[in-house]
Amino acid sequence: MSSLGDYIDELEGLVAGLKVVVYGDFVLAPHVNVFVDFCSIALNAVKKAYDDFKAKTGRTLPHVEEMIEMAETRVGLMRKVKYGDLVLTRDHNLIFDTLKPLELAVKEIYDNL
Amino acid sequence: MGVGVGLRILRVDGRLDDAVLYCHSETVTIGGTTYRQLKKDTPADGAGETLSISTGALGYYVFGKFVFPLTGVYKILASTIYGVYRAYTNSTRPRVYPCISIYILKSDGTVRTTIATHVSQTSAYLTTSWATYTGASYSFSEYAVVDQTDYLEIDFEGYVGAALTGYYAYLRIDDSTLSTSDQTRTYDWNIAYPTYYTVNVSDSGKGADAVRNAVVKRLADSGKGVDALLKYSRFYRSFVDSGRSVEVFSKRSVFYRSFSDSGRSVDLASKYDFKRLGDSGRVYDYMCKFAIKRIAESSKVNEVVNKLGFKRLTDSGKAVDVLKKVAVKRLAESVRGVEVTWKVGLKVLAEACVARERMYKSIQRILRDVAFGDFGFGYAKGKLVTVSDVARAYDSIVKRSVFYRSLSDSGRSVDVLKKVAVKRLADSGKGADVLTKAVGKRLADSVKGADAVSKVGLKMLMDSFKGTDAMIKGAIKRVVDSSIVGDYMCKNLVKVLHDVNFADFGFAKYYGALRIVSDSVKASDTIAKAGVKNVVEYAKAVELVSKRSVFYRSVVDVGKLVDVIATPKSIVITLRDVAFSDFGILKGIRFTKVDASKVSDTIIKYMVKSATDSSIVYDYMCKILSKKLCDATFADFSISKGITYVRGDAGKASDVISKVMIKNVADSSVMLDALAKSSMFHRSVADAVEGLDYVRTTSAFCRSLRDAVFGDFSSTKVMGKQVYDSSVVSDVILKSVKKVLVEFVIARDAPYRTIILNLRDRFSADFYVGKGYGFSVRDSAVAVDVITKVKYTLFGETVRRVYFHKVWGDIIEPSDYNLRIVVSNAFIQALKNVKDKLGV
Repeated sequence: MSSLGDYIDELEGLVAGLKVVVYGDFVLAPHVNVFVDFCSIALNAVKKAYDDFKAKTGRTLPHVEEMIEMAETRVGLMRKVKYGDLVLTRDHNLIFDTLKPLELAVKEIYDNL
Repeated sequence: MGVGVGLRILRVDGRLDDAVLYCHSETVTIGGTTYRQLKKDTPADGAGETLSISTGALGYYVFGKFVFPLTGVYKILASTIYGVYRAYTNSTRPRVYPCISIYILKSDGTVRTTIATHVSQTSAYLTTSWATYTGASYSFSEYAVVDQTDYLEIDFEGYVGAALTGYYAYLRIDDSTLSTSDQTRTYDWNIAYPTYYTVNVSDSGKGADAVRNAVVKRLADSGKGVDALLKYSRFYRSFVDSGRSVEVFSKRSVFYRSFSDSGRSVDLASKYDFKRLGDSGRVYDYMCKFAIKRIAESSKVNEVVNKLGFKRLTDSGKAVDVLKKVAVKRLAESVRGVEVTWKVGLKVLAEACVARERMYKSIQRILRDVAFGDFGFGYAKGKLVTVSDVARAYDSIVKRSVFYRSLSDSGRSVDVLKKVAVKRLADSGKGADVLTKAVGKRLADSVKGADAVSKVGLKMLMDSFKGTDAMIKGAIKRVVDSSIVGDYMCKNLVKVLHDVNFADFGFAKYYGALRIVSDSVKASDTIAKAGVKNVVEYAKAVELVSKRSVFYRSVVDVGKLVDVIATPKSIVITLRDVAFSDFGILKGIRFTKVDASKVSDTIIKYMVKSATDSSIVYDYMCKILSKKLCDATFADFSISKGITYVRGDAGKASDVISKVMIKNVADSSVMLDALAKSSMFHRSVADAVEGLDYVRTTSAFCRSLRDAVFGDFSSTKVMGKQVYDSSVVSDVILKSVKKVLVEFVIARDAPYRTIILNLRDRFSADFYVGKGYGFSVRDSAVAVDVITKVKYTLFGETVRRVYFHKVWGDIIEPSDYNLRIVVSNAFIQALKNVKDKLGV
């Protein structure tokens, strides 16, 4: 099982390849797919962080578990696209909708350490 | 397993409790028979009661009948029960063995079922001191309760195995001084209650109801469904913790069905949400179109006002033009009249001079002839005769027809000259009078025209306000309707959430979905409230501006200004006074210039004040509207566009009004110019008349004539010089008048040009400001569209979800994508912070 540091390295690797876009740029498949991967890895990273938290403190955080579960559900709804696919509103929204509970989970873990 | 007889209670979580039925002394009457009570798990709480039976005969005798109500009991499960007896007898010779009989008693006192008789009997007989005896075990078979009103009846009995008359056996019940193990009772009962009816859970059930109500109330009141859901989920969690596992519960088919139903409900809620949002959007859209239509109508009204104003002004201009032409024509005619007068006068004078010269010559010749003819006679007859003759001769000369006729002709000529001069002067006066009247009439017409313009303008402005007011009311109504729709939507969502709550206890699973719906509700609610608030504030602002007395006052001031410019009471009277008050031409011209300057100064002050007031109001209105527009942009982009459009139109309208006002001033100056010229003409005519009057004055002319005839023979030369001099003086005067008039017009026109130039610059600047505001407002409006772009934050960054809408549409903008990168980096940083704190 990867460590939290490994997950962070993976995430940084993904983000490092991203470039900002401007009007007129083509919407490419990686523009969606990279974030699908990102959300999936981010979910695992938060899970790992929570496991580490439990191991260190011996405590559980029900709300964090709920947030992780919520994020997991949403990651399950994400899809990757390929050339020719329409990028739907849900493809965009699910990225933020997944990162939001993960943000809350990370914040709560951090606050309880 | 406890000691003694007891019952076991089945709890909903699956555990079995031993149940103990203690004997109490409290009674209950069933079917006319009095029974004592059995109380489950309730030890003796009384002072104690001793029941007795006689030992006089063999057999079973009852100490006492006890009942336990089966209300709410599902069944009495199979179990091994025991009876415990606290008893003694007053003699050891009779043998007494306690036991129990068990029945199911109907509520009417009859026995429904006999379960067992004389069971759990003690193996030892009673002794002569109080002691506690436990009977034999009894295997109770399962009994399903038939009627919830039935009772479990247990009769505590004593079997008299050896009889002895006069002695008794005693059973002690409900004695709280005894330990529970010594109290009379039965135990190890298994009593099953339905799962929906347990004491332990009923309180929680009430709590659940309260929580459920709280959920609905919180959702309805403040939309804080999340809090309520959290509490609900906590309740559920505690519920689960105290009972069976979630897995057992979740396997129930009803749960799965609920799960499915909840999913559908949430799905329905989402669809419903979108539909209502779409409807709201349509309402907004309609509102915008409605507002734009009203605004377009208002602009049409403004346009009509402008056109009408221009037409009136153009008409006024034509009137002024006609006035000027008339004035010039009259002037030319008057000049011609004066010229004719002069020519006629000179001709008559010349003729008179010729006649007079001839007369002189005749007199001289006659005198010479007389002198030659009668001188000798005079010598002959003496001096007196000669003088007398001369006198007669002179008399003769006087009587000569030629001389007489000449003199007469001269007199008639002078008379004619006078009459002609008077007539010409009268004609000139009539011309000037006509001119004055024409000027006054034209001015009055212009004033009427300007007044009509002002009134029409004010009316149109008021109509515009009414139109705007109607628009605002319409907009408010639409927004209120929209908010009602939003409110209805919220209520429906609340209902759906409420149904979901009832359908499914698995809130943890649905926390996310409900949260989304709840957020949508809050968003919709915010949109509706924000829309109403902004529109209402905007309406208030517009209403405030339109109703502000200062605005009306400035409009009225503009009207007054037009009146002041055109009113005869100021300019005409001044000019009239100037024209008629002083015949000292140079002095009069100076006075006129000073007065005209005063008038101009007054006009300038009015103009500047009105323009300043208008600018201030306009500026104030711009600021208020701009602020409100910025607020309004959060409500609806289309509204902003509409308002911006109005704003731009208002600027244009103001600009047009300014131009019209400037044109009025310019036209008035033209009119004033015409008036000044006419007054100068009038004065020049008057001066000419005065000169002519000087020429024709009897005292001068007659004296010249008299001198010429009777005194000085050089009178011809003198008179001719005088006439010539007079004409020269008149000519100089006229030239001076013209020169001064030209200078006056030039001098007076300059400030007007300056005023016009300043006003043009001022209003051009205002108009530019208006355009500037409009542009910035449009920019702000483009930035936000709350209806289609609901926002929230991620790591402090405002991100937005996007929605497809068939009308507005929506696209994933570059900024949306770029924010993903920003948020991702922030997320990585947050993970690093956690990692550091964890020390892993």
